[in-house]
Amino acid sequence: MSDTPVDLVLDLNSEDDTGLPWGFVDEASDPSRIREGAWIVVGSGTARAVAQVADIDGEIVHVRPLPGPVSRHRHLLGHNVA
Amino acid sequence: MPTEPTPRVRRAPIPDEAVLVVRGDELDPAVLSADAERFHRRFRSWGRYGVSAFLANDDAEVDALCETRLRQWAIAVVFERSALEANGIDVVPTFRTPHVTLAHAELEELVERLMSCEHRVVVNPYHEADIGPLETP
Repeated sequence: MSDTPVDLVLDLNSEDDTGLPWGFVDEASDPSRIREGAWIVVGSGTARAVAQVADIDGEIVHVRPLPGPVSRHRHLLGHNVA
Repeated sequence: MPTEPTPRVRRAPIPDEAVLVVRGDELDPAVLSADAERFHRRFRSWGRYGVSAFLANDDAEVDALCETRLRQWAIAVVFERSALEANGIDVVPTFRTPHVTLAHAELEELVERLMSCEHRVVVNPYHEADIGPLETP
């Protein structure tokens, strides 16, 4: 397991018809932070990524993860460009 | 929640040459169980639990997956598709190639069968480890 806390638990292996990894809003540590365009930390198990919330469809959240370690992209966290 | 009774299964069957199935991360029963429950929650009427993975024809394609879809993991696990199927796990071509869902009707059976299935662990040469603790922006 990684020590880096996640904003949203999801399987980065996952995808659906969008081709993007997905999770449930109610699995977010703070659902109010899950807004379209927001940069958040996602993952499960040993994987972590900084990702942008692509869309929210009901309870389903799609994200676009950035390659590379969280530390490289931490300047984005807390930003919301929606 | 959007109405999605089942995951989209590709019409084309899995090609015979796609003999390998790759999934990022170590095999951790807690993680597998949580991921499979999340899948089941979304596609409940499909009646199966599932976890995501990817098809590969050979080690060169495993390497390509490590460089792209699996870059966030330091390791990945590689199964022979035939070994998964022999262990009673359905390998279902879902969504976009090369994605597949490893499925079983029972959650505990899925996790136990995945854990006991012969596999090898590959170190991902493209993974970049975090260089330090997460800092608050």
